[in-house]
Amino acid sequence: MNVYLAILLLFVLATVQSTILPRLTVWGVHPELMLMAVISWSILSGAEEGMLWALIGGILLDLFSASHFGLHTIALLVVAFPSGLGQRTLFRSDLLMPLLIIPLATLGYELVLLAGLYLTGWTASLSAYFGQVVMPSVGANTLLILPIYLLLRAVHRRLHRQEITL
Amino acid sequence: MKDLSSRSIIFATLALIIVVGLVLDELGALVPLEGLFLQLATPIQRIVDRAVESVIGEGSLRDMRTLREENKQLKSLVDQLMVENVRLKEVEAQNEDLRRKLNFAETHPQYTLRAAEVRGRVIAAEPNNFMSVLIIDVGKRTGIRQGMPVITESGVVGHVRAVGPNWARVLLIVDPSSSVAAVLQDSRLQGIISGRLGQDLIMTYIPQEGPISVGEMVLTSGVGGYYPKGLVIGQVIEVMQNDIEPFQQAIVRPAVNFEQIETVLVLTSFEPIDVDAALQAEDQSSGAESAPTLTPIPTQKATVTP
Repeated sequence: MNVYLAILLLFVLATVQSTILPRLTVWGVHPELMLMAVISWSILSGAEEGMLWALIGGILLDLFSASHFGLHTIALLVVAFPSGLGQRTLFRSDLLMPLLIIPLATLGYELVLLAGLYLTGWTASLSAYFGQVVMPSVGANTLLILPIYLLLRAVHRRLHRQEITL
Repeated sequence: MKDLSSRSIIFATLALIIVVGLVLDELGALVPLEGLFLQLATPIQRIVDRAVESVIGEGSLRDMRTLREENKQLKSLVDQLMVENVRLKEVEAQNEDLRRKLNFAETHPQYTLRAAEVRGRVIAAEPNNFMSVLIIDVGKRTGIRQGMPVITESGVVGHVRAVGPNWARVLLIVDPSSSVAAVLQDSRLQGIISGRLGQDLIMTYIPQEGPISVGEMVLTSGVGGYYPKGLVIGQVIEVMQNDIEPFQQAIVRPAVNFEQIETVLVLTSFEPIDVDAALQAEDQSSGAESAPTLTPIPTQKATVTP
């Protein structure tokens, strides 16, 4: 995918995540659109493109966030790489794939964010983290991954078809 | 093999970008970039926010809309009455206090806080679920500075943590990294209000000098210099008292509904005092050879009118 197109798309997603999604609460948390998009693209296009999306998306989230720069980028990169390894399997177009990967990816993403925040001096009780943020986020992202994945799969197919035509 | 080496190059590049970014962030060199980005993004966020607001505001079911509107008006009325009640109680308590001291005309004139304010619209929030931060569409151009208290008609929202030309980041009092010096309105006991992840606030370090009652209002005490005195924080919903503990604690429900904030007020005439920084500066200037002595920190008052 063209890098400039990816930047534009990811900027839109980051804006939606920071502007519209805070109004939407699922089990007490706001869905993580960028994470779902990066994981979906990793599954569809592989680890390398997934990591590029993670890098761009992470930097955009870091610029919107009050946390230390790099935290979202690292968290997204950590989960984008293993998620993209599934692209070479026979099941890459299977809808089961994102449903299986997103809970693990969300868990990994939240834990990296948590570790980063702890290291930078931001503290709260671990039971609160897991009970109020990590586990509800796993549920919310799993619930919402399919529409995002299907939308990006349509984009991926369209771009792929254009590449073959050219 | 070739695939492996290209992947290594990608990994190395990514690692380099992140390390450089982290170092620049620590050095504060990313602030201009961040400011530029938010300056560009803020108008877009404002447009998106207004578009969403107009869609939600129109609604498809008129009844729902009417009910929502009525509910909003009633809630607003309750908030106003609660604040008025608190203010009257505070005035009464202050009056009592001043009478006891007899010299109230000179030392504690009965004044009403009339801080200058800037109305900011909430246009974005923190993109992760851990931190409680809002972005508002006012900044340096409208006189906003770091540390300024942010409130709504219901009570305290937080304080300005970072500011750009047309945006400001507000750290909410419900964030676990936030703490506010507070006082219980009836018992006059003081303590520290801290945020808890996804839960109500907790008030700690309350001396065992008197009982706390459920329903008691919690206000800012003004101690520490970050917030003016007498702003509503919330209401006690649970008391945790144990005779063997040196302090008691209370769970406090915030007066502000943080999920539904649309506009906020920034108290621009209140100058926050960084007491810790002042004390540190004092320590450093006092020299290593002599024992540190503390001299009174010059106090700055909020703009008040008699």
